[in-house]
Amino acid sequence: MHAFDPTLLRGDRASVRFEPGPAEDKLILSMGPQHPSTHGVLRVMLELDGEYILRAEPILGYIHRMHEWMAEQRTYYQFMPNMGRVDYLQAMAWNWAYAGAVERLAGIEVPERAEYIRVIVAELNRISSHLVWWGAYLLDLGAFTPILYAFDDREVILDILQDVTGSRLTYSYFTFGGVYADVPADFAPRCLAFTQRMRSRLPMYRDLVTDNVILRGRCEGIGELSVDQARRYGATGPMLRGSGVASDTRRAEPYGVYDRLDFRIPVYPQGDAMARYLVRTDELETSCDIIDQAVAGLPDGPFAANAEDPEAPQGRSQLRRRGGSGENCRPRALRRQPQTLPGQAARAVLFQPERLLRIGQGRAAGRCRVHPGQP
Amino acid sequence: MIPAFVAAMHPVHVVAMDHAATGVILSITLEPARLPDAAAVLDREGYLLEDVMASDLTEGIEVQYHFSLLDGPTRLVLRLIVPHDAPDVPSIAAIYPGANWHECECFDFYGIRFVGHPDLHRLLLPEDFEGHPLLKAPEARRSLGELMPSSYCRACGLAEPDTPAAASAPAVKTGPSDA
Repeated sequence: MHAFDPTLLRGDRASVRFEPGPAEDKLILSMGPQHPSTHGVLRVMLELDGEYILRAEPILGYIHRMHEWMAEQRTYYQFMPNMGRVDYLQAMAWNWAYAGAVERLAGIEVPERAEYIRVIVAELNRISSHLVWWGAYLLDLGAFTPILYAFDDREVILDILQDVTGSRLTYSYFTFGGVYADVPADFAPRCLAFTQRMRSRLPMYRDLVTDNVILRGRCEGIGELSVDQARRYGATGPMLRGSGVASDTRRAEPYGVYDRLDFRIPVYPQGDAMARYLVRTDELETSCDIIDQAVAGLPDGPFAANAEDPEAPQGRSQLRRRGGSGENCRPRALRRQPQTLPGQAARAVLFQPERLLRIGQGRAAGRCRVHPGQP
Repeated sequence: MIPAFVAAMHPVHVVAMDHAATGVILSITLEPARLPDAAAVLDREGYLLEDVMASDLTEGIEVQYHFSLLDGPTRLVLRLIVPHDAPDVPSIAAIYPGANWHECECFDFYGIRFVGHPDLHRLLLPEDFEGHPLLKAPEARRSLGELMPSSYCRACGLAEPDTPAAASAPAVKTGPSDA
């Protein structure tokens, strides 16, 4: 019979650091990962004084799946479906990051039609991702109704993308050298109808939520992040643009055909939660502008390069891809010995800290690395 | 073109890289002890630390630090190699607080000990997990000479001029700490 081990009552590594102290009103709370607002992925040890958070320590790893190790067991092609699971709210971004890095390494040219299709589906997916953020963010702040509007709009996108990809969430639509299948005949008019609908909804979103005094009170002046802090902490995407830095990977290191498209980069200098909120809601409109231009410019032609047996040179490559919640979507440092892509199993290593949710940041980060095949 | 501040890092090798193919413009190989000074130089130059990652190679464990200015193709990578039996790397978490979790990750998966880290712990795997899952069996490891582009290998002296890196490329010189 096992003797009782009293140290078990002390909790884990994080909780032992949060001891109840002498202060009368101090409350220690282990919040998550099963708390509804932490979505199963995050736990935060909290020290509270009433409604004020005195100390917080985030604890990660609850849905960590070790994609890097999974990639070691698969070929390049077999690994593509994992990309739909890295950020399942914006699978297209990860499809692109992975396909783009392999294309760079193997020197595969992507046909123009595929490039435009990629832009359209990625921006549609970005809008659907932002809509989930918007709805869930307000839900967590205590407003229930907006998520119903957001999911109503998002449903239109999911229907369009379902007819393109066969999936509603975890897309595996990109392939090395293009996309897996051509878009249906009614794709262009449906995209334009959606952007028109989305634009007509944005004033209502603004009136209902953005100008709401309670939202403003809960976001303005909260979680201020200076430019220098953002840089030293490695904050990217809306986090950085909410601190006044006009940095957008689609502009700074253009991939695909983004260098041919005209779009505004939303920037707000305040550095608080409200600035980040405004950056993301403005990006809904930016994505609509990009979709309109890409649909207008969608050329005829092949939707994928004939990428059979391309020679992959040895080396490493990375593609920085602008994601929905941050800009760290970039499978990188692919390395392998010369061998054909679909052939011998590549030993691959991918690491991705799922959605590295940080308090008040909501920054998604990830990266992957592919190692050469076992002989 | 190699910026002037790179010399202040006292690099072992500096190799210009093809951004279109690799996403990086400059690869800077350092002796591990030089890392904190190099990070301080990049901090002064306004670089953002994108991530810290590692690879298990024949020569040792390679640790890579990606820095960028985010305003164009400006990414550069700092590399250093530490031996398998003493994987000690100075922490840069005091200079770049964002490195804190990256270094925990590398410790979690590769067992790299970041000396001076304020709180080195398993970031993603359970705290009672045994071992470091991305370390390879010795026979599965590859050398830098096999993995890097031949132009890089020539620039670092890993390959003879005009000959592609052979499978049995000599080990890279990584400074006095290399076992």
